[in-house]
Amino acid sequence: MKGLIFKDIYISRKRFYIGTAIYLSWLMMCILVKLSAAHGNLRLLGDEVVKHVENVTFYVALFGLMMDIAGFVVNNAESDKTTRWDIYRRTIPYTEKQIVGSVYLSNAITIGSALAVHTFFSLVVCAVFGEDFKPWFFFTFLSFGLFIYLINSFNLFCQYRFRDPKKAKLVYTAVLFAIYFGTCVALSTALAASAPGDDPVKTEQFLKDTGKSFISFLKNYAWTIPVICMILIAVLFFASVKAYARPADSGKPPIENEEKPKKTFFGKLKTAAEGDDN
Amino acid sequence: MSDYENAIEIKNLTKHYDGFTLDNISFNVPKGSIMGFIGQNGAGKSTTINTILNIIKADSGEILVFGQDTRTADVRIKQDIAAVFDELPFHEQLNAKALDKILRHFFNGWSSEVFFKYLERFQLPTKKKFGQFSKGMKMKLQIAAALSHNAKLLIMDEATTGLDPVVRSEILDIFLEYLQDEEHSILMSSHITSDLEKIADSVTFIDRGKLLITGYKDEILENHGVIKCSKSDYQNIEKGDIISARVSDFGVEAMVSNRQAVSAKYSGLVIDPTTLEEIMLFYVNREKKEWC
Repeated sequence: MKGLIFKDIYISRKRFYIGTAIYLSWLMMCILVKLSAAHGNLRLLGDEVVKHVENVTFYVALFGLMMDIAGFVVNNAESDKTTRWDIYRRTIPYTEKQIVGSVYLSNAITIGSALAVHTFFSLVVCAVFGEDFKPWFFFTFLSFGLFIYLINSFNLFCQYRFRDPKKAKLVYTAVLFAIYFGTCVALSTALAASAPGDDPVKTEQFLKDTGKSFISFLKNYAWTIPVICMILIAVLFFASVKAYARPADSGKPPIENEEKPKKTFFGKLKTAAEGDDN
Repeated sequence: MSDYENAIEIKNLTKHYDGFTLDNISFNVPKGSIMGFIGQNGAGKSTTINTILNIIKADSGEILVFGQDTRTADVRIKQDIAAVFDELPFHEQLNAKALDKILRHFFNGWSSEVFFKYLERFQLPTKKKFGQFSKGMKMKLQIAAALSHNAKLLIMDEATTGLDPVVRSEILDIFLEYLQDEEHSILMSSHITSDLEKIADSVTFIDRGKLLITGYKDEILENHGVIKCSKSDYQNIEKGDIISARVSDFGVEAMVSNRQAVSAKYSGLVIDPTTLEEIMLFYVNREKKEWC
């Protein structure tokens, strides 16, 4: 699988260079802010302001830059389709599991590397800011990395399942929006039930109780987050292998050497919503 | 790989699509030979090749490669198969050096030395991105990659279409070199019949999903011929003796599939040798019988 992993990482390298440049630029800015607060012009704003600025900058350096890990995912399904690499790939001596597995491994390597680098620089940031590196920092980085891996695994599954990159994007986006709006609706419904008539006192109580429950969950059951992520990633892997193993012409078959008729916008939406017949 | 007589054996291959059916195709590609696979656009050549390569699944029929059923054969059989498509299937950001690093991990028999020798022979740059290659360069690159892992079977789908005659001639010479040891075989689909006439040992002609002719090229050319006669002479020819006829103001050209028998039957008529291109033209119009 080395060749497949090398190919995926090689194709994505420009994005990695950009992600690394953004990361290092922001990191330098955070360190410069700290140096300015300690020895530069920021001192003139007063101790309280300086402390606040240092605090915000510290957490931006740790958790804001953590978001950059999302730029290190490997997903070349769309360009594979455009270049017809996805057809050529079916002629090389690898099983479906190896081919899908290589993409998962590529992601594990790139996200894992980004995580390791971020952890290292977080130690540097902690040293610069004179803070302790707490264990929950690393736990948060790890959970975030796994979460990004999970989201990308779902994206990959959609690509293998629907074959058409546009259709896959539509379904993937629709599901994420559904989860997001579903959560908002659930919370709003719970809030409305707890605090009917927009009672501010009851609203505040609801938010406090929700916050407490969330913190209590994190304290006692935080370990379930990476475990659930890993289980879902494994499920998506096997589902992707099964989706990939279908012949290249499953679903709507191509017409040999003829151009497909152009569809209207609503026609395309309808086709995307229908998905493949399998 | 056990001993085998035919590199590819196709028996009663059928594949249905909306508006198109590949109907009961059967032919063999003997070991150590080149099979030319000809037909119009949309005839079913790519569909047949894709089923051989297991890219798509046939609805029925059997396909054996190196004597093994492609549906159940181990994936390692693909070590000995090289595919060349009508368009370059490699990302445009890659260059030849990167491709070498990728492909050498795919194929046990990959030789970087051979690959770079072919690149030198084809005058292809090693560091230039594929997005900057011309169509001819892309095709030469694909062929270089296909010939660099000692594959026993080369399957090409319209690989020489769009190339200039000089490049095509060069590539055909390389294919003849490739076949010299008689362990290698080529299945080559094309509608440039002149190329196949130069190098093919056998030919299979497919039209609208149906197999029309398969056999040794020399025999096919020997058996077929074109009667050139006047319209009045044409009236005396039984329509069952011809494939189809091209009728013009100057006379009639009619294709026959059994030159000797027709020559004996119509002793006054001259039957000229024909080409694969003419055979293709006349067969494609066989249902019309007369065309212009």
